[in-house]
Amino acid sequence: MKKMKHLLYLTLGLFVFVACNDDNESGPSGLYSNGAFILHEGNFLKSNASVGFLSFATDSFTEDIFSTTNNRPLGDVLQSMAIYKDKGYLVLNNSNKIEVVTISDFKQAGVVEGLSSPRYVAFYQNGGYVTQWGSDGVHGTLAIFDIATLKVDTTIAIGSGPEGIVVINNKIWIANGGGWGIDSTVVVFDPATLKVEKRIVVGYNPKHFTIDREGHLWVLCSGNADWTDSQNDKPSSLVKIDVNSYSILKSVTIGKNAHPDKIASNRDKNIIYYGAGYGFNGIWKMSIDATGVENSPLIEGYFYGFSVNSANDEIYTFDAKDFASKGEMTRYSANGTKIKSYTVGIIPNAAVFNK
Amino acid sequence: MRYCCWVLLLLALTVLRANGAGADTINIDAVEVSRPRFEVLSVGATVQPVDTFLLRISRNLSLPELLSFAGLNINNYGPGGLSTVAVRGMSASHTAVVWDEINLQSPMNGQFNLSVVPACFLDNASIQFGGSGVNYGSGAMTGIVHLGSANLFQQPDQLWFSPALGSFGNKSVGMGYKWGNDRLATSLKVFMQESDNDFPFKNTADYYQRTIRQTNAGLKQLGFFPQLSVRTSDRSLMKVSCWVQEYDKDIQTMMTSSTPNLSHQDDRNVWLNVLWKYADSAYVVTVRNAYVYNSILYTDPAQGTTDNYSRSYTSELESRVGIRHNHWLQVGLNYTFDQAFSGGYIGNVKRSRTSLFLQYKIENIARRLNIAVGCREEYVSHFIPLVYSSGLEYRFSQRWRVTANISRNYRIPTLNDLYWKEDAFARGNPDLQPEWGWSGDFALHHRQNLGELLLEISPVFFYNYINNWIVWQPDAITGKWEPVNKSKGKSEGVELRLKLDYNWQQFHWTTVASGQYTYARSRQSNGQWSSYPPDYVPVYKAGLNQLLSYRNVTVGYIHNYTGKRYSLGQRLPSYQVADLFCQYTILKRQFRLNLQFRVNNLWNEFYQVRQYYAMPLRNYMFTLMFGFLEK
Repeated sequence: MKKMKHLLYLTLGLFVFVACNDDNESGPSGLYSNGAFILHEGNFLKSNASVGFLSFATDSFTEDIFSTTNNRPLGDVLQSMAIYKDKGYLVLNNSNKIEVVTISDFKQAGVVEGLSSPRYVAFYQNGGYVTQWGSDGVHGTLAIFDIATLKVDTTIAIGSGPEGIVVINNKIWIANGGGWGIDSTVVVFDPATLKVEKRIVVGYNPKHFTIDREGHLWVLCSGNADWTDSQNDKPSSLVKIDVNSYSILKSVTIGKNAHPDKIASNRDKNIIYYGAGYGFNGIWKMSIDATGVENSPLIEGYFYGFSVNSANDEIYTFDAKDFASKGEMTRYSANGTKIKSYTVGIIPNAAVFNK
Repeated sequence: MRYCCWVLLLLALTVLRANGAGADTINIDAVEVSRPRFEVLSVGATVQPVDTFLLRISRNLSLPELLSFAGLNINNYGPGGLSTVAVRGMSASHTAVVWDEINLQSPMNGQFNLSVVPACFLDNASIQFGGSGVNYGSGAMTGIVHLGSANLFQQPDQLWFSPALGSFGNKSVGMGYKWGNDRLATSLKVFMQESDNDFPFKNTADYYQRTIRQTNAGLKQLGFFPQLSVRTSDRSLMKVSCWVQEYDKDIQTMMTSSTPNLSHQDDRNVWLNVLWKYADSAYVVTVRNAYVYNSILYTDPAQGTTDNYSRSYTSELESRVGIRHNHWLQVGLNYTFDQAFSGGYIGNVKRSRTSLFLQYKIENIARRLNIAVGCREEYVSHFIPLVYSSGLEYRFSQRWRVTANISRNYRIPTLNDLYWKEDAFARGNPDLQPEWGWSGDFALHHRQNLGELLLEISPVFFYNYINNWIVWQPDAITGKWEPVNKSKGKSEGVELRLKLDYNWQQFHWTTVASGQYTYARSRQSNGQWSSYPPDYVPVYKAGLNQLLSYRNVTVGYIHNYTGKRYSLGQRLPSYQVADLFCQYTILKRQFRLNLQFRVNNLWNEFYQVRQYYAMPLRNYMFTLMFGFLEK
């Protein structure tokens, strides 16, 4: 029975595509295979976003492969990237577009235009599903574009500051991260009916998802910082959701004044990592069976983002330094031992791994 | 208290001296009321004035366009764009902008947008390079943009009207009059402008490489500039000037954006200057009271509307006294009160500044040498360390002279630096110290008459060093941006200016060629000097202005080259832009009619002054100017 259960979860996992994390390992081979795409946000209103590539074969880092390949700038504020089939989808938040590239050589292959502060993208059948904050950062929407034509077909109001997005069991799951306000809901969207099927109340400002080995969905709720009076802060938490019954199985408080921004899981999906974000110290790990958070972080430091390579459980941290000059990426082993640091581009925020 | 006593004593001394020296009666007309004090008392400074002829024929341009037109090194961001001047490799907040001696820099961010100033409101404009203007106080570290209005009593009565039509829906009208008699003179200038600024360009940042029209780059402007001068006695006059303006502009969409920008900014400016001046042959006293109001109403879909505005009140007493026949002592006392309102501040922010400044000048020593020394002490809740300057000018011969100056300068933190309320991303730092630094330049001037040809050539070497440079950077722990006194900056370089003037009968030809090399660096957080110059500081810059006049026809060609620049370490391409204009003037007794046709960006260069903000390709402007001058 236990084996059957694992098989079920494994099958379930095949239908899950998580935007902008390390879970996508199905990319094709080519010039940019067997490595990691390093995403650099670049500076707001400078249009200096870039993508670098770390080759695992040569352990060498190549800067700005989009502009070099396509002889034009990528855009303003690279928020995330997702790989689907043979294409890479680069979400440019302040350019209101998604640049599409052929993942093997990073040559431009199209553009999705007319978005409104897009954040993350996931795919289901022939559609791309984009979370976007909207022009005011409060009235967030889900934009759906046709993968073949790259035209936006539908835009649906979804919540405040929709952020992370995953596809599970033919449903689109969206974390309403609050945007410039506060929200506390995760939305289950049915792509067949184009309707919101369920709103699940979780913690304050849910940001991103990861799936554990039991097929449960974990959502990182960042909480909310009140910068005028920290007594009014809303706590951060990790919330575990049953994807079938939509019920909350567990909620673990991280801290009232702690506001982590990113979440990931390891290869066996029995460990959850969370951390990074403004003023949050460290990358922390937590067993999916734990009832509370650990006392100290796995990796000390203030990071702008982190990613986990699920092929070997190596953790990549991203330090934006002074946000004006080159940032630093550091690889750590699964137990938090530093392996190597690399000088990368301006404001690195994540890695997307490509076998 | 000790300083107050010194101030009173010095002012009293100059007044006593004045009573003794005022034997010669002098008509106030003989005194250049609007003449900036740097012209009178500074020595050794490198100053580039805008030619008055160019000023007269550029009434429908904005100040950055005028300065660029006049061959001064300034970035011109096009209609509606924010335009600041950064002199000699340092930042815009290190260059003061003064209008009739009143500093226009915002106390909130230390900058002033030159784009909002219509050229027709000015009677003179110049850039003083280097830090020799210590008397102008905080912010005048590497240069000063001097704007000025003329003495109304020295102007003929006149009436003028100047409509213009240009490409991309650009329409503007300037008009004005001046009327007066021996005791009273008034003038009013009005300027209106509207532009869609929806120029077409090939978007090289676009996937499809489409030729599109620029979006959200329009502007509307309406400004008034009334002046009133009253002769209060044979030796004194009072002048009241007031600039009131609204400048409504859209924020241009970047080339990389797939949707139009929806941001909008409404600038409102009020500048009121009440001046009283007394002058005799050896003594000049000036009292200024000024009010400067700057409001920025910024509307953005994400943030709604944010209203930031500041008020500055300035009272200044300046006394200049002649000692012997060639010595001048100037003593001044300045009090400025700044008040700012912003949603970004904790409450309303106020700041008082009191300064004492002195300048001493000796002219014509052995008929060859002029020297000047000056200093300024400012009190802003505590005493800012004394700043000072010294300059000399030595004339070797009729043809050759050298000028040199060295100064220690300062800039106090802006109100944003100090009082920005802590939010998710940023906070101010009330513990900031003022920036201070050194500035110096050395110039050789050659002037030679070769019959009908006049040749002027001036190589200038300059050096600037700034300590405690206030830089906004993220805190290592919280990641929040905050200003710190961390960085140092330095710049050095050479400027070369060559002017040829040829006059033969009714034929007049002027060529001004200029070039600049600047090596500028800032010290990074790791203690190393940066590999690149500060953002948008060109290493090389050059210009060529040609002006050809024959009888009533004038043709001008202006060519500017901007060499390689960097933005956040990324190299930006060089560009060169040329403008051509042709003017025909009809003079009929007191009536004047100018017909002017301008071609901007003559060679259709696709370029960006700020990265990924497109600039218009070749475009046109037609201007008429009707004028009636009383002889």
